[in-house]
Amino acid sequence: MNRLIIIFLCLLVTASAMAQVNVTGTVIDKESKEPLGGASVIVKGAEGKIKKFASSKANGNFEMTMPSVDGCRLEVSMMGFAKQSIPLDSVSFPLTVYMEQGNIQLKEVTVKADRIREQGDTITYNVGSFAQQQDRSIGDVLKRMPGINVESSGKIQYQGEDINKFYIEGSDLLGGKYGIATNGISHEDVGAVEVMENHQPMQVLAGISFSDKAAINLKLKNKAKATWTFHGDAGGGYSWLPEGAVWDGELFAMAVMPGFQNITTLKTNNIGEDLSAQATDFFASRRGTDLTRYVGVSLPGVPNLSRKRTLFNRSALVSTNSLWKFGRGEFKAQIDYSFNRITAEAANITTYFLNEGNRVVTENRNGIDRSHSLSGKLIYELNQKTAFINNTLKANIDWDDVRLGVAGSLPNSQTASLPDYYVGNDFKLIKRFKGTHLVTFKSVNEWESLPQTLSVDSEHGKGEYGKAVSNRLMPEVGNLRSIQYVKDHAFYTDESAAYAFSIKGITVSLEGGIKGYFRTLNTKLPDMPEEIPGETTNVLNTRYFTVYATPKFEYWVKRVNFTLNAPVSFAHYAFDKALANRDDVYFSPSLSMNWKPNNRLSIGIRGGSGRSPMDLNLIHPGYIMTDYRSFRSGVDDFYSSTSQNVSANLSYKHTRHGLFANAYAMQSWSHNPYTLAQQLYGDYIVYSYTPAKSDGRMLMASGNIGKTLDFMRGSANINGSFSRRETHLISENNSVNSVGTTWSAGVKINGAPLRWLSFDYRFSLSSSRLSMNSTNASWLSNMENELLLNIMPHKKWEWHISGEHYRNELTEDNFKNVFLLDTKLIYKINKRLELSGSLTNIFNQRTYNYTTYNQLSTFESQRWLRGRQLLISISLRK
Amino acid sequence: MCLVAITAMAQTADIEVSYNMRSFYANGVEKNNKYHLLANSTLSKFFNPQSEEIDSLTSTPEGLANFKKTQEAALKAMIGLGQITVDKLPRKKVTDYVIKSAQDSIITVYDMIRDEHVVYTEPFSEMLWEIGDSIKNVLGYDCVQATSDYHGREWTVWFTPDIPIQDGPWKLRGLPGLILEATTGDGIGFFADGIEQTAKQIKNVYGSEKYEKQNRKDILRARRAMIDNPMGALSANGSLEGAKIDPNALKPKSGSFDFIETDYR
Repeated sequence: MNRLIIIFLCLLVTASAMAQVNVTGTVIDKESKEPLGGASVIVKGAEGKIKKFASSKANGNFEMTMPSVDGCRLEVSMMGFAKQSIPLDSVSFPLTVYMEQGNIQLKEVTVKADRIREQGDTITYNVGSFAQQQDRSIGDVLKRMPGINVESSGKIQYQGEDINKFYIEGSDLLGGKYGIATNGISHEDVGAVEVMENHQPMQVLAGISFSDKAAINLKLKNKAKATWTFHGDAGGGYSWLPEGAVWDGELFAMAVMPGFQNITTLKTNNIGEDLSAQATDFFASRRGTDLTRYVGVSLPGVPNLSRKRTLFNRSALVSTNSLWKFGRGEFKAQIDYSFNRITAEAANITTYFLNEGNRVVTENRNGIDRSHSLSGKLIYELNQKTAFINNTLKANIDWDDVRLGVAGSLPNSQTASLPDYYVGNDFKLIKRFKGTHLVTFKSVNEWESLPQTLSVDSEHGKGEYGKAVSNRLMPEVGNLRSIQYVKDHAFYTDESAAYAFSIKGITVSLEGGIKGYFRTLNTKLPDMPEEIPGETTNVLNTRYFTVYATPKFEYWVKRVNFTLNAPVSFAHYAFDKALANRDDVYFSPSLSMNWKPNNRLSIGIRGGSGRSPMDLNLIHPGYIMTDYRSFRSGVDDFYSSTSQNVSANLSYKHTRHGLFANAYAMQSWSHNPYTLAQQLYGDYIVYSYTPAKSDGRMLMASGNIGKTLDFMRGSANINGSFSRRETHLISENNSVNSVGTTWSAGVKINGAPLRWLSFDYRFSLSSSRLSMNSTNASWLSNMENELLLNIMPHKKWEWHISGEHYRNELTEDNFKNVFLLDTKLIYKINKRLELSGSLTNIFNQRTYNYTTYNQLSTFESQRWLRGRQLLISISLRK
Repeated sequence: MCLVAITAMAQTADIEVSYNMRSFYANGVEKNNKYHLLANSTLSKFFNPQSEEIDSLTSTPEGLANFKKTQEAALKAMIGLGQITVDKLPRKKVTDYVIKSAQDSIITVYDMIRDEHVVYTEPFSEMLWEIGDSIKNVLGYDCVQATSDYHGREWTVWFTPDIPIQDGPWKLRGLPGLILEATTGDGIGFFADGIEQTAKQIKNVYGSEKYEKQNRKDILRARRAMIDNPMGALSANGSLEGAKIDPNALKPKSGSFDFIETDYR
């Protein structure tokens, strides 16, 4: 019996343990009798703890399963309704819960409206987070900030586009010479780099037609503000060729204070780096004076090898830049001086196989080029919300002295003195009214003088040149001298105003102004080889006066942008009776269309046609000696030329897959009423122009495909290009159609397959051919391979090994191979001190010699490369 | 078709909540972003108001021109003051929108990878909450603790049954009350700092037609590749033409960093 009771009890307990309560029901709006979805349904225990919860479905139903509902309450709540609370002890399911309209009292805490200018997170690149131990300048760190790219020249690009302003603490100290900052400022002094996208600094179209370009601002750390900071590098070593000591040094000082900024840098080296490039103004525009040198004496170079392998130089750079602020205005002063001395040497031996025996002609060329450049700029700028004023006064003096001696069968020595004096003033005023209407006034005035002197000395009686001039009266026997004098100066002035506005998707801008130009050209060549007929003096005063207007229309429809540019000008040319005066109207419309069906693809086409005045430098009826064996005369009248062009471009990107591709093709035609003629008189080449029509044609196409290689944190690129240039000239009284064709292809791969190893590989192959009147010369190719390996065995140590291989085709199937190997070892003692040793051109390849053969002669050439070089450097920073 | 009709119909929100999202840059520096949640019982949108304003402006050509003008004006004003602070320039700093729809029990996330618009969906069911005993006061509301594993991280959230909206920041939802605070063990989290009743419209995401449907994990993997291989894309599109790549740039960035979801590996 007892046993039975126990079994029964057990069953009872089991049964109650297994009993589940289905808490089900429907939530209904009491007023409309409609079911309510989305209501929160909670079962709370006696102690108020949530035991189970659900939400009502669209039909108002809810369902929960619980072991027991003893002492529980069901709470149903929903926004807009009063909460219902039902004890579950004595109810049967399904329940119907009627909700009464009512407010749930919220304890409101104001939601702050996040205004558009307020701070969220920041685009700012934190310099510390990108900097690596071996970094020196801010340029090194910028290079690895995603989206930012620094070229070896120091030029910065953001997302593939050149930046248009470079600020330090919000001030534009350096203008376009920011390479001094990127190469100079220590990254340790910079706290953050800010990128301002779509930065259109001070242009009339600001806010109406938009800039895709970005600007960069360096925010310095507090320790670098209000004080002077310094750092320096010094390196010394030995080079096998040029034999002797080598050096490489730099000193950099910077002050950034609230009312004053200064950057001063001093650099010098003789290791093959031309420092004058570092003070390049990346924002400089073409000079309006538009003078070009007639005299051109160039030093022999080594074809198709990188410049650092072949440059025998001594270079120095001094640059100091200051900025003072007062009120809203800014005054800036910049002075730069650079020096570069280059020496070059080449030897050629030509052997002619003649019946009476071989004739050997030797030529040793030995040259030196010293160039100095001194430039200064004074800038005043006023920035207000409604007005902007900038006045820039700039002056530049260059001295370029070239001496090139030729010894051997045709001995002579050329000395050219090529200074350049330039002064210019730019004024710009922007006035803003009615919010978005902008008017700009611009005034540009420039003066330039470009005198040139070329003297050629040849030894009497020796060589062809000596014979040619020996017939004339010369002061000294044995040393004949011929001198070309050129005096060329010009003044240019351009006053313009621009206005822009936008209505209903069409942006209209109009720029109009007047230009004036005065130029005097005097050339004199007292001694001219007799066999060349013609004038040897030029006296030409050129003046022009132009009134111009440039309307521009931009229209957006769907995802297509149309832009029409229609510059029109009226010009009056006067030549002081030397040539007939001329009045002309020029109109050069162009239309472009850009279609962006989506974010990935962009297709553009462009076409233009127009007339333009000729290059005024070509007007000189008399001869000018441009080097020891070339004479050039220009046209004797003023002409206009016409041209047409069409182009198309396509770009595609798939960011997520890291795929980027672009292609570009352009065809252009030009029509000139004059033709270049080339004539040989003995050893002399004479260039002149004849009034015959000449047409030129050019086709260019290029493409690039890139892909990220994420598995090794690298990327790969393939690129190709093709160009075909057809020109027309007259050679030896024969009409010659010359066609130059070039193609190239390249591959680049880089990556870091291992934590301590990274590599960078580059391959390029190019080939070119020149055809004259359909007679094809052979294709000549150049191949280049470059591999850089980087090994990082330890935090304090770094080891680079790099090799370059060149394979240049000299004549058909005759190749010249050059292999060069470098290495560098770096040891970081601490944050302030670093030692490095580099050995370049380990195999000590010193010459670039080659021989080519044809049926009647051999040609041997010898050029020099920089030999093995050891350089030990120490870097120190404050 | 029906679905399109429903989602196209703007609904009125009952509440607007502002959250601060705390996360970290790859180098460990803390980053804070502001988000708003507009929600009613069946639909919610979690977004950055500034980004939405920019998206609304830039969804038409004229709007785009206007926006650029605004940017320009802000920049000019800064130049006028002699100090340029990029942080204060109007620009889109946050790119994601999270839409939770109870009607079809689906979470839709709109986002960008660099300049590419992507969208993905996932069902409601992926969060399994365990309600704990702890109570904490957030913004004056008594909140109950709940925990769940979600896409690679363990989330601890605090929700208040006093606000009967089963929603919360980001993709977090499904508790009997609004989630006011949510954190992971590594410090990532959402913190409500404002709450208001509202009658604002829950509008569709601007330009939603240009978002391309993708797989969630693929998106995370692509984003990861961009962090681990930052130079890759630049160098593949030719931006690094002529520049030597510093080998250190190819080194992986700090290893411990990860996204809010870590289940993509």
